[in-house]
Amino acid sequence: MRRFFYGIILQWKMDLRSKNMLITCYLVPLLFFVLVGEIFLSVMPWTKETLIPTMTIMGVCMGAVIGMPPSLGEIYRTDIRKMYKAGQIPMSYGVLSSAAASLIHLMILSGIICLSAPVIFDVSLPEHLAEYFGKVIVFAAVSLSIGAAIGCGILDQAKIPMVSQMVFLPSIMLSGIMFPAGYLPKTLRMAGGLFPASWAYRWITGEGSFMENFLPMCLIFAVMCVLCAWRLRSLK
Amino acid sequence: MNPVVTIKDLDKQYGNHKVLNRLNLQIYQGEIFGILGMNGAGKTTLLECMEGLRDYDSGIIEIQGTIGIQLQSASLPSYIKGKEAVSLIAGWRKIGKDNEILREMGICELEEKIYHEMSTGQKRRLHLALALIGNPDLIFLDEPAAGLDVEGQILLHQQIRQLKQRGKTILLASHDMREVEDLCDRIMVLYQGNVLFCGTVEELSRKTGACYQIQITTAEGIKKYEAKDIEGSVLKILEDCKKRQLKIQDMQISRGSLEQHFMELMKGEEK
Repeated sequence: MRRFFYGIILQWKMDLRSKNMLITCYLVPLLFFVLVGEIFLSVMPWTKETLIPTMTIMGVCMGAVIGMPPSLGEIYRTDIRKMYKAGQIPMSYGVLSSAAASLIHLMILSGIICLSAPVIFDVSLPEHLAEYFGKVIVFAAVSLSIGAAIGCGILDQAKIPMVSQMVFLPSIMLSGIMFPAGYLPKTLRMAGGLFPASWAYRWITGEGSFMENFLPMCLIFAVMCVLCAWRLRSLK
Repeated sequence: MNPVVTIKDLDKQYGNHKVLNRLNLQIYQGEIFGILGMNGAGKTTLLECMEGLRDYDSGIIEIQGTIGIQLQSASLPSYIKGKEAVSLIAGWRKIGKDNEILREMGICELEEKIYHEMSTGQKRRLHLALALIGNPDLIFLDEPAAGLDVEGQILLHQQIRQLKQRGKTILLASHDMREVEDLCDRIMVLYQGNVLFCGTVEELSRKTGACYQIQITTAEGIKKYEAKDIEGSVLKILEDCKKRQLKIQDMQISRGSLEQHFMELMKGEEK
């Protein structure tokens, strides 16, 4: 356990040294938050109530699906994997330490958005903060499982950013955070159900019951974990 | 002497291509053992089978004691520092912190240096340091000097000799004949998965029937001779120079390099 904790802290520090994670987990989401937040409130003032969840979901999704996979590709598609094996480091170490470190980054990002939105845009904080952040953690974990599946599963390291974009863009467009999901055709609404962002947005904004939103995310998480485990086994 | 490594009838195949063919080998404690061969001979596959990094089809590999591994192509996360890499590996090997290893290797400057900012030589020395964590009994080195400049190679060879003095057993795979000739007590030559030769360099030169190389320097310049009978040939050369009243300025006699013996062996096999 201690070794994993050391690995998580180490990965977190390496992420900060790496420009990639700083850009995808902090800079771009926060820039998006400031710019698009301003646009949303000008064009659609009623989105004030959902600004914080919207920007949080966008930021978490970006960090998990675009930010994390390249670092996994670096571990599992290069000689780092052999080096880890020679050093008796288990195959799962790379993905678990990266995911845990990324979760910390994403929660820091969520905290920054949540605390700065009232100051910048004069919006209200979520009513029950502990419950809100609990839901964000669940969403972040599910999104990171998708990022992990991409990072471990895609054979060609150069294709990882492309696949990440292919998952990220529909997640955002079909989730209801950019515009109400009710405006979408039925097929696209159903397709949105494949992505955790849709369920997380409903859950955080109070639409639908706990089980209606939580179970699909659990299913997505379970499927992604199985895919990761299978891939790591084949890499071993 | 008890063997530290025993390999019996080791077989490894990739598809239809046999990489290791009923290979038998013993390595003894405290020796530096070299593995030579052309590209594709099976050197890295053999090492990786011994290291436990690659499965093999059949046979037995027995290793006494703990092992340390320096891979031919190794890498670490780009943004890890030297001391962090040591702590990471030491932690997973259940050795606890081993911060002294970098000092012992004389590479303290790498403690705070980030991996992607290190030169090739620094990375190689860090990889060697990582292989030595936990003071292993047997150390595998796969092309340890690849990519190093002359100074780096000299330092590395000094470190390898120091490891031998400390009683370590070293298994070295290399293309560099001079490196193998300088360092190794015994060598093995692999060819298409088979052991062509296993023994000392002396034994190899006797096996290939290699000649002595004689080089003399006179006023007429440098002349080179090959001779199987060293005494007879040297006397003949001296007599010849005396007849022609040529003063010998320098004379060098060598058994021939490992590279020459190796090429003789390969020629014989290709016939």
